[in-house]
Amino acid sequence: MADETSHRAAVLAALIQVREDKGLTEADLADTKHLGDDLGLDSLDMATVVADLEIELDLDPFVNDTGPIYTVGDLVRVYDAA
Amino acid sequence: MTGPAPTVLALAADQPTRPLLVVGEQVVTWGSAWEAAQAVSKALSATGHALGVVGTPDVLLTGLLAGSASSARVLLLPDSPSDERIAELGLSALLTDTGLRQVGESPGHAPGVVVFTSGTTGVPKAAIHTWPSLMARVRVRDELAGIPWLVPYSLRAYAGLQVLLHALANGGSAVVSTGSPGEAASVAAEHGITYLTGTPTFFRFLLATAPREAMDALKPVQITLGGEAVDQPLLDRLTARFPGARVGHIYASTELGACFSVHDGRAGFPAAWLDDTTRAIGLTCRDGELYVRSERGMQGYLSNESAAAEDGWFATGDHLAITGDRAVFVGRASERINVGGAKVYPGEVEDVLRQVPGVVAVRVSGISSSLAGQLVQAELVAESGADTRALRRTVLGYAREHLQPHMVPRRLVWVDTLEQNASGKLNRRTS
Repeated sequence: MADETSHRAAVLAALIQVREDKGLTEADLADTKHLGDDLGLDSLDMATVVADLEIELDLDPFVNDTGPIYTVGDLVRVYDAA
Repeated sequence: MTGPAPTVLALAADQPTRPLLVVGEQVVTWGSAWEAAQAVSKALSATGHALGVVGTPDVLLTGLLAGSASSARVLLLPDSPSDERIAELGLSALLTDTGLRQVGESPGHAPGVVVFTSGTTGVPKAAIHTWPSLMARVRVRDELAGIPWLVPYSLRAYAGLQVLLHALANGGSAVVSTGSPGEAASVAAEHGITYLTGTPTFFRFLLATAPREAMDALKPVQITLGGEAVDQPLLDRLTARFPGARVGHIYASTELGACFSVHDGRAGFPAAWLDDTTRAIGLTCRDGELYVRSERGMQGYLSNESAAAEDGWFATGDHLAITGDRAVFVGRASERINVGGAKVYPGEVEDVLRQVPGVVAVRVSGISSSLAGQLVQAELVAESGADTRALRRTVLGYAREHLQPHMVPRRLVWVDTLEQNASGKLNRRTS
């Protein structure tokens, strides 16, 4: 069931898109997955995800202090809180 | 009289019905060009006017010749000026599509031409040139006598003005192409043009989009590229496509005029030219930037802002990389993208992306990023009929293989074409 108040779908789509060469699917993107260690995203990949989501959602939570973001779940929470 | 007016007067009297300017169906003959210029010149009555000119190519031609005949300073305006702008520029007369309007007393300027820079990355600057400094660059040779010249730029841009002056000095004609580079190829073929000049952007689009019949009919003897950095693959493709042509590139600017030309078929120029004191135009490299010292550059900027350093060297804004015996252009400081503190020149990325088959043209720019400062974006023109989804994967894969991670474009946008400015350069101005 899609949660209409969550930006989860958009965040996952952006993560899949940023490294489409890795062939990630939603199944790889459980909340507990570590963005760097598990998914292999570097800081520029993260910056890209944020830039893409700013266009998609018209939101950029990173203009404020967000606290540490390590996992897929952290990222979804930051967008949902914005 | 100064500048090209005496030559035009002589040829207009001798062969009045010869074409001088061709724009689509419109043909201005030497006779009618001189008549129009005479009318404006007479109306100005005094010398030394500050004559602003804006309009279609025939209006620009009239303004230039009238200014030349009446010893005025001609300002080739980028757009129609407001009353405030007229005052700011100190204009005493304005020539437009609707005619001549005198707006003040002649300020008694020395004759010359004010050329506005293309403002590729910023606000256009106005460079004051004398007629002798402009005409000093114009070659008059037997093999150029009476030939038609293609002008794939605006006539008010320095490059366009130089081509027009070649046509005037050699008794030829200027064929202005206002359409796309592909259409320009057809125009050039139709008029039997053998000396082709244009920017690298112009020639890339020409190679990719010109109709086959036009390409087959085109028989250039010389191709000269300028205005932007030239990459080796483009030189190689032009040489292969037009085996009968000498392919060279020229380094010129609105401020300095033509500084040097390169005819060895390679991108960049010999590094030995730097600091070679026997060269007429001095070249040196400071902190990676090309500096030029020229006796025949502009007089200065209209705004009085200083152009050259105290020691007479002019900072071009073009940055160089010295590789072995070669100095190659990497880009302009003002275009640099800052990705998390790492500097990226758009040209470095564009040169790589253009290698991917199916990519016709590329413009790389920076997009702002809250995390990285800026990220690299690439706008691409694909060959017609290309599968852009598949091409996107190929482009990204190729970029990851050949570029450092911070240089890999983070956003790819497919566009139908890329805007060129009055000088035929890729428009890099960001809004």
